[in-house]
Amino acid sequence: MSDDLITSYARSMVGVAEAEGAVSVMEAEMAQIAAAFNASEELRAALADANLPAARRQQVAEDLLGGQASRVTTALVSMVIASGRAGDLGRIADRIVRMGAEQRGHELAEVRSAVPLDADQQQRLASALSKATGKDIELKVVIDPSVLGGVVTQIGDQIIDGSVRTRLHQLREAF
Amino acid sequence: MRPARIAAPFICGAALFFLAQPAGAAESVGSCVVEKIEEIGGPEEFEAIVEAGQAEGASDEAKEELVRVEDEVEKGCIEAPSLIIPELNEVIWGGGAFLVLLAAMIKWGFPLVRNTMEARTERIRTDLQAAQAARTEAENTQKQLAAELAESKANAAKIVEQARQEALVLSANMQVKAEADIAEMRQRAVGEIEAARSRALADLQGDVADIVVGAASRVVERNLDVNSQRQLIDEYIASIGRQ
Repeated sequence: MSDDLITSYARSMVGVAEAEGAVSVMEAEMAQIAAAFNASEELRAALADANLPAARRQQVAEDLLGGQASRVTTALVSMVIASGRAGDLGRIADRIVRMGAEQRGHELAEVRSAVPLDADQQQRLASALSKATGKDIELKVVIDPSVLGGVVTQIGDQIIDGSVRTRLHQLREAF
Repeated sequence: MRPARIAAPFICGAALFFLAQPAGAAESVGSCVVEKIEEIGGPEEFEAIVEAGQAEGASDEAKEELVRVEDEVEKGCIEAPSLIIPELNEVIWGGGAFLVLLAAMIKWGFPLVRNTMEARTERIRTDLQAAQAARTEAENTQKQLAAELAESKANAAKIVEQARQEALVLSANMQVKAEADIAEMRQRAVGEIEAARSRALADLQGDVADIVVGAASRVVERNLDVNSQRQLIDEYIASIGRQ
């Protein structure tokens, strides 16, 4: 899907959330959905499987989100799947999170870690990144086991890599 | 003046001198005798002298007078005038005729002869010039042919020499190229051997690195418990704060 179409879907979904008065909740849940969607090949394959009827895939998504996501978020995800855009759900969710941060005048930092960051770590990391870049930073935490340990942060085109994976690569390159 | 124009009057005069009849021969003997008789004193006187000299018993004076008159008539009319010195009237008529003939010759003959001679001279000159031109052209052609022949020989020699030089150069170049090819092949072989050795060494190093890093990764993964992960994240946050 082209960037324009991704952006159009994201704006439409934000518009619906605004109409429902649930933008912040939807953005937070979309960040979690994006992280889960990007991290799980199995989940992407199940929701984008063209052999399954759209209604079945919608049912799967609603079952997964049921009780954990808001009604608005669940309905929007179901709408994307019914539209045949389930394969782009991760990108649409990312775009929604990024648009929300930009709307608030914040810079979105994608933080990849092998384990979840607790609230204190997220608050201290956001503060340190804001101080280092001079911008208001919002975090989007992505659980990525390939990082092994430590954290990789991407702000725009800038990457701050403190992962064990990269250190092992450097060790490999040193040979 | 041209020699022909000078010789022409003399030739005409000589022809007139030798071809003209003697003056005495041209006159009648009778008229001459009549004139002589008139000079003596007339026919009566002449007859009287003849009769006196032929009469029998004529005196010696009468006979001598008769002989003298006969001699005078004979010498004056019978004997021919001198072959060398003409009579005056002959000189006058002959000279006049000569002058008329000379004038005619000067007026019409000489120009005609002159024109003919000049035309002939011009034709001869033209022929000579043409012959000279033909000769010059032939000589030039001969020189040109000789020059071309010499040039052809020189070119042939030059081509042969050039071919020989090129053959030498080609031979030298081929030898140099062969040596260069051999050196290049040798160098390439050495390079390939070196590259293969480096590749093998790099592969070996890579394999060793993969083994070592793989082992290290497995060790790290086993040892990265929750506390270690937290510590790594805290260190990361602290390092960003120091930037």
